[in-house]
Amino acid sequence: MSVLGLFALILVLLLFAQPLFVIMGAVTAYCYGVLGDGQSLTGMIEDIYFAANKDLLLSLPLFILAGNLMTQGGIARRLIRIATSLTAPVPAGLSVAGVAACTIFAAISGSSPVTLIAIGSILYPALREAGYPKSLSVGVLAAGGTLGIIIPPSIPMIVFSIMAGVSVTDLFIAGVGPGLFLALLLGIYCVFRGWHLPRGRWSLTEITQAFREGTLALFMPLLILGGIYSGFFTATESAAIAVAYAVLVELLFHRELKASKIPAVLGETAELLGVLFLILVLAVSLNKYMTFEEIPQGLVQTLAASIQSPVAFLIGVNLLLLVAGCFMDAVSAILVLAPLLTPMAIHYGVNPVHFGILMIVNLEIGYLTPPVGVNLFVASSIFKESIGSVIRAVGPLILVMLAGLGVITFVPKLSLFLLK
Amino acid sequence: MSSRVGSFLNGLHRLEKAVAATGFGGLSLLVLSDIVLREGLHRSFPFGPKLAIDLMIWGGFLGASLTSARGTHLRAEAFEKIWPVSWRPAVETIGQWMTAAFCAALVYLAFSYVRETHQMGEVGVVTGIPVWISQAMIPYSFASLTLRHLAYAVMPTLRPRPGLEDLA
Repeated sequence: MSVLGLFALILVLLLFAQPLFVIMGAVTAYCYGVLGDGQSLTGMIEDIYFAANKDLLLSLPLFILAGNLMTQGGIARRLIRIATSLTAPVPAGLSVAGVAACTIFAAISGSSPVTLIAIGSILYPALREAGYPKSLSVGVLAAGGTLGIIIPPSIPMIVFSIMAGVSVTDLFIAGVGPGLFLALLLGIYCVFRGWHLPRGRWSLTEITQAFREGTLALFMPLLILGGIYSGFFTATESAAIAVAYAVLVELLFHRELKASKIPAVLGETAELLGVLFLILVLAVSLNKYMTFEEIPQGLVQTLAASIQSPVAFLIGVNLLLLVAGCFMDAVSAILVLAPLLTPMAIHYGVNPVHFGILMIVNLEIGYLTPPVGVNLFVASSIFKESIGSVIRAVGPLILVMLAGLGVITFVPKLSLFLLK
Repeated sequence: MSSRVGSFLNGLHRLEKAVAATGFGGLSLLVLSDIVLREGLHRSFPFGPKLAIDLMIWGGFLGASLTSARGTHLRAEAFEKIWPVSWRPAVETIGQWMTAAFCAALVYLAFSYVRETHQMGEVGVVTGIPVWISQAMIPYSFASLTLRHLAYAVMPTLRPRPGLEDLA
């Protein structure tokens, strides 16, 4: 009866379009107050405070701030220039450059829609002007934008790390292989689709100038990942270094950010963090209750009785996550599903870091699937195309990414080969 | 009346944004100082990261209030589409009342919790700062959220409508 009450509560809150933090908070309060073994509701607030009082959470505002600072100026333009100068003689080189620019930009921003807006708004007019078909141009930029959450630093990876208790450093390192692999698949797709399109030539002068203009931007991902991989910095420290680097580069070298604009950037960071922070601490509090009540362990036992094979588990979990990605954004899905699915994955012998990457790749595809695929709406708005034509354009790219997901699922080494 | 409440909420938004921005600037400097002191001068600065976490808690909870002001809290919008179009304004108003009620309940719970901490006189192990100061932002942010959603429930014209940039 009490459990039915919980489902009724969720249904009512959903019907009245309540924010996720209200749903998460009401469910947590119901669990503590009605289902719990005498735990008081004040205990829930204590758990919320302890959830917020974590070192790792510091990396969230710092990475968001670094990304905000670096995207204030013309960094996307600089990266696009490098990518286009290098891919000029490749068939459909400009679209391959789009994928490459999204890949590098993803290593700075950590957000898929931001990557799409930054690269797409510059490159889409150039692609159309160069005679690239509309479907290829829209599709490849919308799909390239999704790389933002798989290539580190990635906000969903930090959230997964908090919810599943997996090292964020390991997740960042493990995301590099699958991210580059998906970028390669998207690049190959572009080459085949645009084989007939006119090609350019390499120009040493253009390549030199492009690198001269964009080297400092290119160095940021190396600094973040190099610092983490070498063990010199923790993820939080690398985020702080990224902030300092972004301020120095944008203020002193690119000179595209004025010191007077920094308070506004800090304010925007607070607003962006506000979207995540409350639901994150409430979800951690709910997770603590579920762990106390051994709910994930119960689910593992139930599932283990009906599914014997790890392969069947992986296929099932991929399908579940793809469906979840159609209806939820990546962070919400991770908050709800990561604490439940990760113990199951461990039971079936799946490395939790590999599982985290699988989750991110599945939810990355969700950015392209209706009805709530954020990149569809962003692409429709910035490219001024109907949602229908964007959906048709990304269709083949979703198939390419599903093929990539299959490889990433069943070849764990692709994610784990860099881990020490 | 509506314009006065709107001006008050705008002022509150600016103030909260300024405090949160200062907090994030401060926490960045504290974490950086820790790295510089450790790597450059081989001295430890444990106070820095701990105070940085307190600033993040302030900034994070204030951020939740700022997000309400922009109308960008994550929500499952697909479900509200099941209502007939003519009912949706009323449904939205009821939704605002529900959010305000939830936040008001949390103000009470959070205030009770912070009062307990205050009475026990807990202080941070490393910083020596009373713990209730860091916790005080929890009831404040829910109070701010309550106020905002009450205003949105009573005065629909004040409700924010997020744009494209907010999707990112």
